[in-house]
Amino acid sequence: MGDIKKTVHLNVPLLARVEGEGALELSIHGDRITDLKLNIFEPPRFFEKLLQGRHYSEVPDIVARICGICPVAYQMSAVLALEQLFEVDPGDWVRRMRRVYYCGEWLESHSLHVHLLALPDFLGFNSGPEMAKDYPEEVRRGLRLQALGNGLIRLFGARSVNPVGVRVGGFYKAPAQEKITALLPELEQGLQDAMALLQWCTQLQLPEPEYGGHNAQENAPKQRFNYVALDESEQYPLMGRTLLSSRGQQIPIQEFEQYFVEKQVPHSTALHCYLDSEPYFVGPLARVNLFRERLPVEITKLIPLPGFNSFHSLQARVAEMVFALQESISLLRDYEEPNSPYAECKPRPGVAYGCSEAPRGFLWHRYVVDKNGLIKQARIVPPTSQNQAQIERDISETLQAMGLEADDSVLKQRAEQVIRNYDPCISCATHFLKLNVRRQ
Amino acid sequence: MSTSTVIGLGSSHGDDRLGWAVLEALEIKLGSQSNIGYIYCDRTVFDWLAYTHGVDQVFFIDAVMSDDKPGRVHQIDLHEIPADRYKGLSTHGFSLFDAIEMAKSLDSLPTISILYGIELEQCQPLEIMQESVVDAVPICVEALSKALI
Repeated sequence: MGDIKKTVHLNVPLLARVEGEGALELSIHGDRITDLKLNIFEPPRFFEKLLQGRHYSEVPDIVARICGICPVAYQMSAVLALEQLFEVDPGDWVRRMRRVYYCGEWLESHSLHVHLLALPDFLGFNSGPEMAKDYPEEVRRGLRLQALGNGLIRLFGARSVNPVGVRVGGFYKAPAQEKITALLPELEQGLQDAMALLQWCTQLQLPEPEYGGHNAQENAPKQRFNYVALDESEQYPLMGRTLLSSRGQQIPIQEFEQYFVEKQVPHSTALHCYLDSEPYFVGPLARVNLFRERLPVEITKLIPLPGFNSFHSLQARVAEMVFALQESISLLRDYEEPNSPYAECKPRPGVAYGCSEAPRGFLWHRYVVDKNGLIKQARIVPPTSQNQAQIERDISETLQAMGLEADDSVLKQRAEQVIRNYDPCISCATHFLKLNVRRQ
Repeated sequence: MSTSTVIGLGSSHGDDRLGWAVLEALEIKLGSQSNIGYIYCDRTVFDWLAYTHGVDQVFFIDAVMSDDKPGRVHQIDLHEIPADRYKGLSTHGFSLFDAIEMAKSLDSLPTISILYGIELEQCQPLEIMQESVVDAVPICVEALSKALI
């Protein structure tokens, strides 16, 4: 009797533990994946259209509403773009405090993802509350860290949801000295919590798929990766003007559209993005891989670098949580209230480009502005949409490496884990797990 | 003397502000008291967990929507809600009820934990509170002040 080739169709109608609405369809014929689609259901959010005709001063408040988890990223990419066009120098105090503000977002977003989305996966639980019964201290620690991140955002944004404290040129208000003095001991305690978390996470048994199969050459890269992050002159990047790829390309952000191509695919309301016609990814693992020498050695000695396994992004996120706390403490230790928390600005007509590293990867903005400071056109490329094509490739490679003869429930679980590695923020991704597997 | 935490959930927009509006009115009515903590939460998810551990009772105030009369003030015992009953009812995958489950798992939900939910007429992104909600605020404040005394 010859081999019987099975056809399997798996359908994951609703992906669990991701932000937003997505699903996965998979077709397998024998030992090959013949079709794979990550379906995105979020309705397009039309923010780019909404910004047309608005005054530049309204942009930070409007774009903050694109995402409830990463409003800081949207505000920073926007103000950096407009300040560059208007030739505004916000000053050292604003630049330093923006890093603190951004660190707050990395801390709250990464902590939420690690403790409520990712760790339940790797520890064998269906949800964060279920995990909390067996790991109460670890979950409490994670929630403390998340609350600390929200507190840093509130310090400058007045609130953590749809923060309103940001303006082109800086902030509307500087925090009072006594607030910073009261916060520093909490940040120091948070740093101890984050280091303990990092050490704990390095003990986790993470999947190590054999991407090249059993015949993979020794020392061969574990997975085909092309990744990109912002370069911020000698600092671990939060904001910058040049993109660096793993292939060594250095791309000024105003040339983004010459190198990166967005394509609409029928099965997704989020656009797919390509660099040199190839998928690529952005986010913590990209940053940690590209700029590991800019992280403190007490962090880098604990995690495998560079990471060629998307499951290592969990450890990359925790490493960034430690960095965020160290950076915040360093920047706030000698805090002084400024004479003014912002620089005045006058609009100029032209094209504005801005880019910053959201928790999930770099977020690129372009605005066309008229002489009155009105937005004529806007384009926003979020990190999650940039990762879509790579997510599909990763799922395909990871399931092939695991073996497609595995039970559908096992395939489904592994596919969901791969998607969660990228921490997709699907609501942002539309600027735009139900797993359906067909086996033949 | 028993200790209580009253948590107003919401944001500054429209009917979503009602949790904070009730809290503001309650603070004016009861004044500052050492055994009552007033927490204004701008995120449903988990930020309030630090304030419920170790107190005798906790009261949440939030907007709710069912088929009931707009402005009705529901009182819901949070220990009586099944774990999966309201799963996924949130824009970001974590609702108040997910957070309640987390609090139970962490032993951070007092025996007396009540949600005061004000029924909305509609769920629309408006900038001001609807009349039925405005009228319900003093009713909710009155009910809460009796529970806190």
